Amino acid sequence: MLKIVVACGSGIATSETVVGTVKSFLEEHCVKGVDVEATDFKQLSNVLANYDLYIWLAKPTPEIHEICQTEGIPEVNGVDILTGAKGDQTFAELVNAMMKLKNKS
Amino acid sequence: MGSYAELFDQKLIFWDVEAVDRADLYQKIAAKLKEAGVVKESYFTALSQREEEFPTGLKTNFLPIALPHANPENVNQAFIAVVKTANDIAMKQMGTNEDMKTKNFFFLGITAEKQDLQVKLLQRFMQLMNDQKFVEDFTKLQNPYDVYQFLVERF
Repeated sequence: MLKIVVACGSGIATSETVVGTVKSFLEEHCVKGVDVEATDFKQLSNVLANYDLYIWLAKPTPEIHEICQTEGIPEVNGVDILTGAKGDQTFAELVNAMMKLKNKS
Repeated sequence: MGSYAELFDQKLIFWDVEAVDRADLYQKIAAKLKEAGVVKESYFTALSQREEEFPTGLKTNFLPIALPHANPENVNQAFIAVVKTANDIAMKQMGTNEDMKTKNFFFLGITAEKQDLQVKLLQRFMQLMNDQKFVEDFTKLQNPYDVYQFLVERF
């Protein structure tokens, strides 16, 4: 099971929206075995190590970057996923990060 | 009329709002929301603090927007307040904290009870912001009545 965490400021509005958008994308592409959850930024440093991939909506702090580096957790831009402004390329960063994790395991 | 119509309220659409900066805008909108009874006394401070820490400006394909919101404990009732300012307001972008400017604000009043519906609405909203026709039509709207009719029809 691949575990993805999406973090915005409060974990209620935009992060939940991106969770929904990512889940729909994965379903449309028949990707199974991926768990997508939202959290708020204040809890993030405590729970981040439990996840394989991190989608940011609030600017990651140096502490968050460090956890990601130590644990080998890819950081993916969630603002692009929220707005969909990049069209076909919206999910490219996420898919690349997932493929890298897959090749590693 | 779409299922999201109940979240819009003509009384919470404010057009050509005069504000010198975002702090001024938040104060003015918070006062109006308080008057309408949809937010608590704590809303203005909570909104301002949250927005400084976690800004909500977004550069969508056709229109820069912002989605200011405070945590649910400061909100009495779910709402979306649609605001257009008379002049550009300097904002920060979500995720990067980079500078941007906008006149288009969607103040989200998130509550635990209506969260699922509001999240779906936000998804729908983001889809619409990538629809050039929708954005063009939206930016032509001149008054709260037309904005309300447009939003309940198109969402």
